[in-house]
Amino acid sequence: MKGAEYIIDALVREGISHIFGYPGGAIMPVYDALVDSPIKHVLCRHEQGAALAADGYARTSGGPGVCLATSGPGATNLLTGLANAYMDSVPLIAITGQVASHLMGTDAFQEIDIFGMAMPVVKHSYVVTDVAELPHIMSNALHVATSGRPGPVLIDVPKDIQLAEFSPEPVAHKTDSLPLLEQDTLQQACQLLRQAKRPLLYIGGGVAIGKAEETLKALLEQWQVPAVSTLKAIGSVADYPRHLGMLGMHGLKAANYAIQNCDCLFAIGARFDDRATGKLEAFASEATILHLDIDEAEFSKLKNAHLTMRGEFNDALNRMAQSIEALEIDEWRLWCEQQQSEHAWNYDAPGEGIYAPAMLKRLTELTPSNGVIACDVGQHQMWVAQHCQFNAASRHLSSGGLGTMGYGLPAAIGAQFAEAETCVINVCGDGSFAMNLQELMTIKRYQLPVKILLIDNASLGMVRQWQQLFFQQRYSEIDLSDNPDFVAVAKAFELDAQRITQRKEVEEGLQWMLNSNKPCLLHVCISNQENVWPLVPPGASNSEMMEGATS
Amino acid sequence: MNALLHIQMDEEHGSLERLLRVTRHRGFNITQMNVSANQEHQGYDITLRVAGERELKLLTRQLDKLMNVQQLNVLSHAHQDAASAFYAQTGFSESQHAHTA
Repeated sequence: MKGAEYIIDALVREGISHIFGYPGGAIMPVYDALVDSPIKHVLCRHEQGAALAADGYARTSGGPGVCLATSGPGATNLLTGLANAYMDSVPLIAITGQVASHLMGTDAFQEIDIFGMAMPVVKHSYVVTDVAELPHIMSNALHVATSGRPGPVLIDVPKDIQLAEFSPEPVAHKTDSLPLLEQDTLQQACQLLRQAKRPLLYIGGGVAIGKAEETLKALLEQWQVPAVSTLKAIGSVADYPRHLGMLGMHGLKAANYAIQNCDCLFAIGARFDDRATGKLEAFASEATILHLDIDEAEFSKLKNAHLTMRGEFNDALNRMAQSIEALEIDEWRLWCEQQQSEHAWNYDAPGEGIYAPAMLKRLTELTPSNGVIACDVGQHQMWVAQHCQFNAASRHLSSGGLGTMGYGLPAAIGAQFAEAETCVINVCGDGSFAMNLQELMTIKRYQLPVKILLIDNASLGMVRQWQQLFFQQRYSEIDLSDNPDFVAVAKAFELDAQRITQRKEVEEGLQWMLNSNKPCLLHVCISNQENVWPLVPPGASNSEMMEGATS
Repeated sequence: MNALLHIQMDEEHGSLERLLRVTRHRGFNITQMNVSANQEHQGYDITLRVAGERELKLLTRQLDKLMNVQQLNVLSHAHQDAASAFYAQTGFSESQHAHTA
C-alpha cells in the first residue's frame, strides 16, 4: 500500500471519524486516500480554522482531534491552532504534507521547515524520512498526543513518502499507566488537610483532562470543603454549593478572598498561571500548599508547594476520601458562605441598553444542560466565565492559555461535529468574530445548526478597558465603529440573523436563537463603555480588586 | 547558578535542536556542550554546562519531559537555589517523583 493510504488506515483503526483540513499540492496523495475512506473530512476555509475546529472537537469529545494541511503556508497557518492546543493541553494530531524528500532544504515551492517552526508549540513532532517508519510514527504520535498530559503532535510527511509503496509491519499498541500517588505522600497530605482550619481546593483544567470530575464532586460533597476554579475548570464541579467560582484577574470576589484567607490550599491539576494568581508573593500567602498533578514540571514552577503529589487523580482522590471522612471546619464554611452572599452578582444595571452579564446568565438558564458554549477572547469571554453555568468543563470551550481571538467559531464547528444533537453556541465579540469569519462558509456548507451570539460593542473592548484604566484613556486603535452590517454578513452565508439593541428584546432574541434548528446569528449591540468587573490590576494581589460602575 | 548536566538522548531528527530550544526558552545559557554518539544506547551522550538566574529544576524538569530524553543527571550544581532554601526554612521536604517515559 502507499504511505498516504497507510496514514488514513491508521487513523481509521484508531477510531478517528473526523478530520478538519484543507487540501494543497504536497498533501494530495493523502486527500486521494481519503476518497475511499469512511472518515468524514470537514473542509474548513483556512488552516487555522481547521486546527481550532479540531481543538474544539477534541475538547468536546475527549478524544484526539485531527487536522490536515499542505506544506508551506498551509502548514504555517496551523501554527496558532497548535499553540492553542499546546497551552491548554488538548490532544491534537496535525498531519502536514511536505515537498518531496530530495527537494527538502532547497527552498522549493511551498517548502517551509514546519518541523522546526512548530517545535515550541508541540508535545512532540516527526518528519517521516522512510515510509517503513510510518507504522511506528503513527502509533507513537497518537499515544503521545493522548497520554499523560495531552498535547498536539505534528507529523510532517514528504510527498514521495506519501506515494511510496510498502508492506507495513504490524506495530504493538503502546499503553502506559499513570503513576499512582505514593502512600506516604498521601498520608502527609491528609494530615495537613486534617490540621487545617481553613482548607480550600483550587481546581484546574487537569481535573477534566484526567477524567476525574465525578470523583472530585464526590469528594467535595463528602468533605463539604470550599473550592475555587480556574477558567479551564469551570463546569468541573457544576453546581456544588460551596464552589465559590473562578479565581483570578476577573475572578469572583468570594473566590479571591477565600484564596487570600485560606490556611491550606490544595491545588489539583492547576498550574498557578499569572492570570489566576495575581501577585505571586501575595497569593495564598498564609497557606500550606499541596499540589496534585500529573506533570512534574508544574511543581514549584511559579509557587513553591509544601507538598507535591504526583499521581493519577481518580486513585488519589478516592484514597483521600477514604482516609478523611469529614473535615471539622464549620467556622470556615460559614465565612465562605458569607463571602458568597456578600459578593453575589448584581444584575441590575441602569438604562434600557442590553447588559451583557444579565443576558449571558439568562442564556445558560435557557440552554439545555448539556449545551456547549465556545467563546472567543476578550470581555465577552470573561462575562461567559463569570455568568454562565456549565455541568462539565467539556461544555465550556475557551482559549485559556494562548488567548486566541478567533477561536470560538471554529471551535463551535468542531464541537457540533463531535455532538450533532447538542446545542452549540459561539459567544463572540465583534473583534474576535472577524478573525475567522471565513468559517461561516463551513457552517453554510455543512448546514451546522451552530448558534452565534455576537456581542458587539463596536470596539476591541478589553484593550479599550485597559487603555481607559491603565493608559490614561489614550485610546489607540480600538475603535471598530465601522464594522459591517453583521446581519447582512450572516445572511450572505445563508444564516438566519436578527439584531437586538434594547434590553426588552433580549428574552425574545435568545428564544428565537435557541429554538432555531438552522445556522443562525443573533447580533447584540451593547454600549462601548461597558467594562469587566471585578479586575485585579496587573502586578497587584488578588485581594486588590477594582470595581467600577456599569454604564 | 551554574550546573553540569549529563543527558542521554535518542539520536532522532531534531533531538539536539529540542534540547537547545528548551534550554534557551526556559532562561538558561549554555556555556559548554559536548555531544557524542553512543552505540550502546543508540543515542547521544551529552554533557551540558548551563548558567542562569532561575532554579535549575525549572530547566531539568522541562528537559526530562522531552520525548527524546532517555536519562538526565545533574553532575554538579554550583549553589543552593531558592526552592531548597524554601524547603529548609519550612521544614518540608521536596517529594521525589519517579520519572516515567
